[in-house]
This record gives sequence, structure tokens and C-alpha cells, in this order.
Amino acid sequence: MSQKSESGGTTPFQAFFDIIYGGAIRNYDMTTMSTGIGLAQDKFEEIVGGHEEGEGRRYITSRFFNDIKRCGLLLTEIGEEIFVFEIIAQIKDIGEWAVGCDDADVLHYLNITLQDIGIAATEKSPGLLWNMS
Amino acid sequence: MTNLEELAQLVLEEEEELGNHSLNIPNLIVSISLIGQTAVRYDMDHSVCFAIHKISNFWRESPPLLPLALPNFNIAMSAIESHSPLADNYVNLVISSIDDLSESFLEIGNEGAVEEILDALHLFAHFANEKREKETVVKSLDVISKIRESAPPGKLKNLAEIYLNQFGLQYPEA
Repeated sequence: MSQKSESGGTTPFQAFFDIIYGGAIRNYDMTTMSTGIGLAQDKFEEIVGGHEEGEGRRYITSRFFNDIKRCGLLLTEIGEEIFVFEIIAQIKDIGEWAVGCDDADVLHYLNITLQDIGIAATEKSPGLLWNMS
Repeated sequence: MTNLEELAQLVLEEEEELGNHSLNIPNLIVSISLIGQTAVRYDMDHSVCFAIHKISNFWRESPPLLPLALPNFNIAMSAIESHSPLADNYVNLVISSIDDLSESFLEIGNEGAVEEILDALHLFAHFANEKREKETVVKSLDVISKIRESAPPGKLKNLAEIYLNQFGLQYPEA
């Protein structure tokens, strides 16, 4: 079921994240997750790329990166490192796109997302190593 | 961290091309520092060293006056507070990388960058003094002293002198 946004509606890429959470991650389906993230990314770039600067644009951007971050943190929590790497690779792709568009807002949210996933992964890693040993 | 660093490089290239400056590069570097500070708490020495080197290398290659000295010192502060057995290694790595950077910047006459290093070293030395890390205080003051010896007469030399004199009064007895 789609998660409601703070304003009561759903974000345009929510359907993709529903597939990622509900299907791909639960079934360890990397292909579906990768495709879902890629499609959400395309949708995000399409919307934000054609949107004038302002609160609405910032809201969409923050929602998108919140979803990406939740996804990354969830995967980190359950120790699915390969999936986390895939998420980080997608974030980097978006970063390259944002730099090309000189888009400081997108880079700001992206930076926080990478930072939070990085910190969560750092905190989780020793536990993962101990669990495996 | 690699992705953050690569994005910072991309932003830098773009900014050089367009001639504008945003706050994104310092933010990206601060993120690397925060991950490095977290890695200190878990004794992930490879990640800590990686963060310190990335920050130092980035600063070496970037234009002057980007506030990047503090992110590395924040890792060193985190190391001191963590009481990690590897804390000394991290602190030494940060101080030696800052020492190298100050030498390079003095050679090319980048006084703004050296001034920033002096300010950060001064703050760090105070922090180490409060934590009773005498060896770290000495090492930090050694770098300030080296800068005082190598800097041309003027602002940098005077600033280094002031900072050293401050510690002359408060310096803990060995």
C-alpha cells in the first residue's frame, strides 16, 4: 500500500518504492530492485528537471531522497550489502546528473542521504563482521 | 565516502567552469568527516584513514579557503574522545597530513590556507589540552612552531607567535 505523504497524497514515485519494499527486497530480487530504483530516478529527474525552483520542487526532492534513504537504511539494517551498494550507485548517478544541471538543492538532499546511509553502514559493519565470524 | 569525494570533485570542476561557488563542496567533505568520526568509534581503522586521506587530498587539489581543515581535526577529536587504542594513530595521521599541507601551501605562498591551518591547529591544541593529551598538544604546537619558522615575516608569523605564546602560559607541565 502506498505510504501517504505529509500533505495527504502520495509522491509520484511512491509506486516504484512500494514494489521495491514489498516485492524486491522481501524476495531478495536484485533485478527488480535495481529496475525499480532506476525508474523512480527517471521519474524524479523528469519532474524535477522540468520544475521551477521553489518550495514544491524542494518538497518533491526531499520526499524522493527520504524514500531512497529509508530504502538504504532498511537494507543496511538487514545486512544486504550488495543491495546497499546498488542504492549508493544509483545515488551517485543522480549526483552526476545534478552536478550537470548545477542543481544545489538536489545535491544538498543527496549529500545528507549518502551521509546517513554511510554512517548507518559504518555502525552496522562491525556487527556484520562478528555475525559472520 | 568514495562517492562523496567523487561528487565533490565533479562539483568543483563544474564550479571552476561556471565560476560560481556553492556550499556543496564543504558539505560533501563534512559528510566524509562525519562518516570517519563514526568509524573511529568502531575501530574501523581502514575507513578512518581513508577519510583523513580523502579530506587531505581534496584540500590539496582544491582552491584556497575551503574550510576543510576542521573536518579532519574533527576526526582527530573524535579519536581522542573515543579512547580507542588506535586513537594515537589517527591523531598522528591527521597532524602529519596537516603538517604536509602547511608545507605545501607555504611553498606556493597560499597564506589564506596556512592561516586556516593555524586556526584549526590552535583550536585542536586547546581541545587536546582540556583532555590532558599532553603529547598531542606538543605535536600540534610543533607544527605551529614549524609554520612560524618557515612563514615570511608578517601576519602568519605573528599569528603563530600569538598562538604559541598562549600555550606558553597554559602549557601543562610534562
